[in-house]
Amino acid sequence: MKFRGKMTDIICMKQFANIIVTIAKLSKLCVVRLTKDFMYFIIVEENVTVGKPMVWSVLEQTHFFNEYNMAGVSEEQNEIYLEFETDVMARSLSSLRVSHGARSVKMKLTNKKSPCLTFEIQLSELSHSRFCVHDIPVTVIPRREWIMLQEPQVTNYNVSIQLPGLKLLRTIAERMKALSSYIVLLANREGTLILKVETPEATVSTHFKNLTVEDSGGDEENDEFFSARVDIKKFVQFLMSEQVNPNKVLCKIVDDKMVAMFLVHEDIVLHYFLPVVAV
Amino acid sequence: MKCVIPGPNVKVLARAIHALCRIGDELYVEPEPAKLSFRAVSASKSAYASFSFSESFFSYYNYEQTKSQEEDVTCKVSMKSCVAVFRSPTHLDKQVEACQIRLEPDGVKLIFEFHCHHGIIKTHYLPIIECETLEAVYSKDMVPNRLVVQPKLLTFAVMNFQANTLELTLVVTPQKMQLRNYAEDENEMKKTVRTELCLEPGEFDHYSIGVDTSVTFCLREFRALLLFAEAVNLPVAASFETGGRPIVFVVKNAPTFESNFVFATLMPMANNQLNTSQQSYETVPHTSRAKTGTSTKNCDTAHTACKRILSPIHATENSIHTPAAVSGPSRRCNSSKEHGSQSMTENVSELLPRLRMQEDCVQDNGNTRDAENTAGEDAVPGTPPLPAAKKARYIFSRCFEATFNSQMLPGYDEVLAEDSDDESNKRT
Repeated sequence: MKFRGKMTDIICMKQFANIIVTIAKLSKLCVVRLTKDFMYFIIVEENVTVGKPMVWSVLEQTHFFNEYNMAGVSEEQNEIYLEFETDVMARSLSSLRVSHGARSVKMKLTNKKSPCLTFEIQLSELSHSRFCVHDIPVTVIPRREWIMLQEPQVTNYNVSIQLPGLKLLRTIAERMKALSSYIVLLANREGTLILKVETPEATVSTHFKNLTVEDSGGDEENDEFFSARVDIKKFVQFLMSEQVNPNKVLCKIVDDKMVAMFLVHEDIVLHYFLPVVAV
Repeated sequence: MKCVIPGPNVKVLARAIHALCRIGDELYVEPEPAKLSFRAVSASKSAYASFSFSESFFSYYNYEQTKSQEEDVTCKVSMKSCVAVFRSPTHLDKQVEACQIRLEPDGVKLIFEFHCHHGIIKTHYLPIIECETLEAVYSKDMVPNRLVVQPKLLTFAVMNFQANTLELTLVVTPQKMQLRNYAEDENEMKKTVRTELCLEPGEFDHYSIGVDTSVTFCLREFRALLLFAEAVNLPVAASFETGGRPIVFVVKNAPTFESNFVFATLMPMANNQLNTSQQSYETVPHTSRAKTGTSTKNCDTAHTACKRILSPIHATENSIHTPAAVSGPSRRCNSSKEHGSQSMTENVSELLPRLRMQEDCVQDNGNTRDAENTAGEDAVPGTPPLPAAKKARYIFSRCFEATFNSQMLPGYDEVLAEDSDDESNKRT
C-alpha cells in the first residue's frame, strides 16, 4: 500500500483545506478513499443513515495534485481506505488557508510506529522557507468493511431544485433552529421551495420562488409539493459548507423519504444525504 | 503607594495582566522604591511570570512607606477581578486618559482609578486576599544557550500545532532548532498528531547554542508570553540550559519595563526515542535492524520511566522558590499532586461510565431486590444511591464469606455418643 501526492498550486491547497474544514464541521471521523483518479471523502454516521454514507464527496486527483502515486492492496483492488479524525486534520492544514501560508504540500501514507498520513508543508513566511511536518494517525480500513463505504445509489427523486445562497438559507435556518429541532423542506416543480418549522404555538415558513428546477421530467402536475422532514441541526451543519464556494447547490427530495444535497463545483462534488425523520 | 499611568501605557499594563491571568489565579502586586511589580505563579508552580515597571513607565510614582512599617507594602488579589478591571485591552487606550493605582499601607483594597474621556472617572476596588510576596529564584546569566527572536516568528510556528497540545519541545543544535509537540509515551504517540517544525539560526536575531539539548515546557503559558510580546512588539529573549532546568524568557523595553517568564522543563529522556516525525522516519530502519539488543533497551526504558516521574518535581524546585508561601515538603507534595491529579481525573472519567452502567444494572434488578427485602436502608427518597460495589457486596454477601468448613465449628472434636461398633479395634 503506497500513497504519495504533492500539491503546489496555492488555490488548490486552499480549496483542499477548505474541504477538510467543511468535513470537520459535519463529522468527527471521516474516511478518505484513494483511487487512481479520484480522492473521496466519505462520512458514515451510524445513527443518521443506517449503513450508508451521509456524505460522499469526490475530488478529481489531477486538479489538485501535481504528483500523485498510489498503489492499493492488489491490482484488482487498487484502492486505499483510511479513517482519520477531521478536526486534527483541519487544524494541521490551517496554514494552507492563510494567504502566503504554504508553498507546497506533500501528502503521503507513512508507517511511523502506526499508520499515518503525513503532511509535509513547505511554509513560506517572508523570504525564509521551512518545513512543517504533521503526522496524523489514521486507521486503515480492512477490505471486508469496504462494502459499507460504497457510493450510495441515486434513487428517483421527485424533485430537484437549485437552492438559493447558502448564507441566506443559513441565517433563516439558524433562527428556525431556536424554535424546533426539525425542519420541513417542501419543493415543487415550479421552482418554489419552502422551509417550515412547526411548533404547537406557531408555524413559521419561508418561501423561495422562481428557483431553477432541474429536469422537471414529465407532464405531471407541476404544483404538487414534495416534502421531507429532517433534523434541523444536520441541515444547518450542511449549510455551513459554503466555504467550498460551490457553483450551484441542488436539493433533491424523495417525497417523505430523504433529502439529498449536491454541492457542485468544477472539480469537487459533495453529496449530502439526510433521511426523513417521521413525525 | 500611589502611581499614575499615562494613557498609552495603560494598554501595556492591560496586556501584562492578561498574560498573567493565563499563568495563575492570583496576582501579586509588589511596590518597591523605584518600580512596581506584578507577578503570578501557576497552580502547579511550574510557571512563573513577573512584570516590573520602572518609574519612567509612570507619569507619577510615589512609594511612600511609613516609618513604622518594616516590611514592604505588598498584596495579593484575585486574578479574576483584576482581569475584569482591564477588560478588552485593545479599546482601553481609546477611552482612558490615565490610570491611578493606590495601595494604602494598612488598606484592605487595591484601588484602580481610570480617568476616562469626558471627565468620567471609573474606580475599581479590589479586595486584598493576603499580604504576601512571591519571589522566584532563578538565574538567567550563567546559561550556555541564548536566543533572541521576534515574537511573530514564534507565533507563526506555534500556530501549526494542535490547539490541545500541552507541551512543546525545543531541540536545539548550533545548526537548527526543531519544535515539536511532546508525547508522553508510545501509546499516546500513536493517538496524537505529531507536528514538527524546523527553524534556522538565520531567522533569529541572536542564536548561540553552547550545548545541544532539548527542553520541554508547557505550551499554554508560552502562548501567554507570545501574546504579550506580540502585542507590545518586542523581541523575546530565551536563556536555558538543559531539560530539567528552568527556561527563562525575557521581554523588555529597557528602561521602562521588563517581564520575565520562568517555565519548568521536563527531564530529558535517556534514550532519544521521542516522538519526531522526520527523525523517526529516518531511524525506523535502524531500530528494526537493531532489535537484538532488546534486553538492554528494556532496562533503559525502565530507567527513563522512573526519571520522568521525578522530573516535574525536580524542575519545580529548581525554578521557583516562594519564601512566603509554603515550606519545602508541602510544595513538593503540591506539584506532584497536580501531576497526579491529571491522571486521576482521567481514571475517574474512564471509570464513570462503567460505574453508571453497573448502577443501571442494579436498578433494573430493583424489583427483585425489593422482593428480597434488602432495601430497607436505601429506600429513603432523595438519598444518593449506594455505590454499585457496595450493593453488589450486599446482595452477594454470602459469596464473600469463607467456605464452610465443619472442622472450624466449635465442639467438632467432642464425641457425644461413642460408636456402637468399634471398627478401629477390630482392624488392629
